[in-house]
Amino acid sequence: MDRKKFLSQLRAQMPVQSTQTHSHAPRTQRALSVDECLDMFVSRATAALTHVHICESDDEVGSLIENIIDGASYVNTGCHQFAHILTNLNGHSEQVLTEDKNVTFGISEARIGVALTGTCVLDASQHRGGTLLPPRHIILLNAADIVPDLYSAYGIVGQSLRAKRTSVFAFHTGPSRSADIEQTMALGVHGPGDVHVIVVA
Amino acid sequence: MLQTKPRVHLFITCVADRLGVSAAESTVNLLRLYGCDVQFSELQSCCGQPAYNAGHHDAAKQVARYWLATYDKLLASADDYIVTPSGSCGAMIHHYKDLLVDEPSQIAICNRVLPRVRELTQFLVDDLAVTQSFVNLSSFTVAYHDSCHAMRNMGVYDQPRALLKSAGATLIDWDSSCCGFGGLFSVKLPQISTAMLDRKLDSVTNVMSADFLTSTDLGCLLQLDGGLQRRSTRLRTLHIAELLDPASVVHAK
Amino acid sequence: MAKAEKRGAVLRGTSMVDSRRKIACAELDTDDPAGYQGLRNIAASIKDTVLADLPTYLETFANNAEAAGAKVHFASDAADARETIQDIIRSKGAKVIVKSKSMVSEEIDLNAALELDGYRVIETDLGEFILQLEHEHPSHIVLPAVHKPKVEVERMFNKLYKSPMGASADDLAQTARRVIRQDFLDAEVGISGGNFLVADTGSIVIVENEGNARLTTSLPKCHIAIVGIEKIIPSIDDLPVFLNLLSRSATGQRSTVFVSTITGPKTLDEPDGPDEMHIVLVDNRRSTILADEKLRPILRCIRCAACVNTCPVYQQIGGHAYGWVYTGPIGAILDPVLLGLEDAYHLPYASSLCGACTEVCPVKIPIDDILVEHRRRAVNASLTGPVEAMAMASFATVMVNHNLYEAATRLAAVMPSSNGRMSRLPLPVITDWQSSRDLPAMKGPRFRDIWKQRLASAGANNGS
Repeated sequence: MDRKKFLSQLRAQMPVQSTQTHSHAPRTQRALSVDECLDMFVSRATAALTHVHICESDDEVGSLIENIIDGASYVNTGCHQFAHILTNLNGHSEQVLTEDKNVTFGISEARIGVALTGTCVLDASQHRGGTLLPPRHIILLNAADIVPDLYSAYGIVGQSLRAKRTSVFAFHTGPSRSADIEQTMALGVHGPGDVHVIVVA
Repeated sequence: MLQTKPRVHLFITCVADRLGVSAAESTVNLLRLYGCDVQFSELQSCCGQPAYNAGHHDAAKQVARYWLATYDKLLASADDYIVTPSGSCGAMIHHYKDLLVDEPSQIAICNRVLPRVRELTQFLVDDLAVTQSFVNLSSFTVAYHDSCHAMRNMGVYDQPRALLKSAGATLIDWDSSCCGFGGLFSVKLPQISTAMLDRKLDSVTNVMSADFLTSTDLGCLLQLDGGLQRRSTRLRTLHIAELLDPASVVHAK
Repeated sequence: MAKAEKRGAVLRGTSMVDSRRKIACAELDTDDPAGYQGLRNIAASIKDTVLADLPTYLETFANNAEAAGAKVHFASDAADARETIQDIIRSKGAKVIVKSKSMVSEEIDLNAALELDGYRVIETDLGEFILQLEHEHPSHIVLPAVHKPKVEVERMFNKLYKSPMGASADDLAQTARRVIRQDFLDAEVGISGGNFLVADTGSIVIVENEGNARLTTSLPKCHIAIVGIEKIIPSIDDLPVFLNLLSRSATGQRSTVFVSTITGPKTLDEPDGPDEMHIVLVDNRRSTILADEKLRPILRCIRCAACVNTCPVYQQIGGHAYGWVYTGPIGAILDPVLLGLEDAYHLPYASSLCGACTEVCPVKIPIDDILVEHRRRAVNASLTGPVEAMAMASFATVMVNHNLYEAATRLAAVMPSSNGRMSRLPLPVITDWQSSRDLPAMKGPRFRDIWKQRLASAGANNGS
């Protein structure tokens, strides 16, 4: 239906305007220090079945990734901050992802971490397919990018959207799961069933 | 100086008047034991809930106006209480303001009368600050059933539990869902109502055991007792006033 | 499959999710500065603000979504919505369409229309996929296949995909993943629902656990989102309030696994994503609810199904007994408007009015009050029949007349009884009660008789 007609019909059906003022969402976020954020992130992400690793140096990250992927194939979904680590991985060749052909790992980079939910926020600069199609997913997250809660995270998302359009912000919390068969949890139904987050402190 | 006795006007409810006589009597005994001046007006009848819940609001309004007129006359002072042993009926009284919203004169009565309405255990604990019991229930295990309306609409949850515990009863943690009574619901959709009832009774007879099943609502008790009578079980259904009243049949030696 | 087995599956499934919800919501008291009850108030108030000025918010949303490169369509009813979507797809030369969960698409019966057009339409949510294979409809808003015992899925997957009998839930899920994966790669069009429309950014937000909605909105070159007009929230800053409540109320999770905030199709410098995005905003009688002050709170609903999981009636009868798309308490208040009261007035009566639904609703919809309101309207429209109307009129006549009340309660004593129980009687109401329950005898004195005989005087002796 034509938009103008639709909206004017809707307006005609509205009863007399009652002035509503809504109490705004609390903008005060949970007060958590940087260390508390990290601890909370680790415990909440782990509770959501994410394997969380903490690394201190690039070398440590590199060898941890080598350990996890253990010779399997992977795609780099578009890491910028940590690109140099991926180019130096020993004995692994990066795949170019066009279809879901035998690529075991997607390696991506989170823009934000959310402590209270154990969430990693990926944006559309990452190849969406690469974060979803491979059965296993490694997400690199800078410890300094962990914020306390969803209020702070969507504050950043909102700012970013107002500055420059990004087609998707995807909040990932743990492996893909379903409980559609008699409430028994099954992992990796469509997205990755095994998720590692490497927090770089 | 003698403390003035709290004056309580009973709203005994039509269910108790006909089907819960001993619960009603224990209510009187208990209120007197705790020092109340108890009054009962024979003019009272029903709260109108059957009609209200079924959507027959013209009928419900008639009964509501009658109830308000009756109790408005009875309240001799602003400190008088109206106490009912049936939480669901008490909760219905609180719907009168919505039901009669278009009638300013009725709303004025509501504003005088409704704040004085209490469910029995709520009155004992919240208004009289009762902590001592006149009975010893320490050899009994009790399954307390929350009346949905008493709990959700009148805030009755801790009070009956506190009274039972103060008498030394052991309370069990059992299925907390609705008993399936729901007034006309129980006869309009008897199969669903009974399935809900069976779930509760299974929980307290098969999974756990108790000596008494009790509640603050005579509708729920009618349903629970009606189902229990069809089962072979030593579990007995009693209104909470009967359990707490030393003169009731439970405590007769 | 035995009915009892299905009922067992429904009761177990919903009870489990309901107890997880309780724990997760209670945690909001420490996790969120507003606390659980505070958040419910805030969420209800945000929704009411939007509903009071819905056309303006819709316009803002549409302008911002189109500025972001999406095409926004408005559909007044089911037929309009179907045709809008059929038109979009026709221009794509599509053969395969993947869908992620959308209750609105069930509401407008979209799949049937698309299949008639010759497309292959695949429901990709695991539960919906299972149901689609058996040509069944969801019985629950969030747990579509909650009524289905696992062994039925084993049997069907065995027949269709040679999956072994006794396969684990994990194995069954992997089978479904393999089968659906190819459809994802082949599909030209992806159809999704939407949990929220964010007015100030023009984004749609989708909440899910499997990743099928992310794939549906990422792989096909054309994404169509179909969303009810009531799903608007003013600002992206309001989103956390609703996400906190939705995931915890729906499944007891702190956050669902995936939450996508989608703002237009892929940009030029992004590596992948759809080239085209359409958002179809559907009225389909929602404006009727909007115009009705008493019913309007229904439109606050965020489809978490907490009311469904906690409902003791739903737990016994399951969703298909409701006979339509929206089931449980929310269905019982929504369906009478969407379908018309004449066709659905019996649904609001399928409730003991226990109020468990209202207690758990994260946006504080007074569900039990609205159930009673629908009943009132059914009575006013003479849908409940003359016998009941007469019975209720007589009830009121007796209850407001002291002499009649006295006579009626005395008369009740003539009902035959033995051993303190009323005998079984072939009378309306009494028979229905006695089908499964005893009724105490009405013999003996009434309370008022005892009061007169001994209680009144005992009180006087007691002195005051």
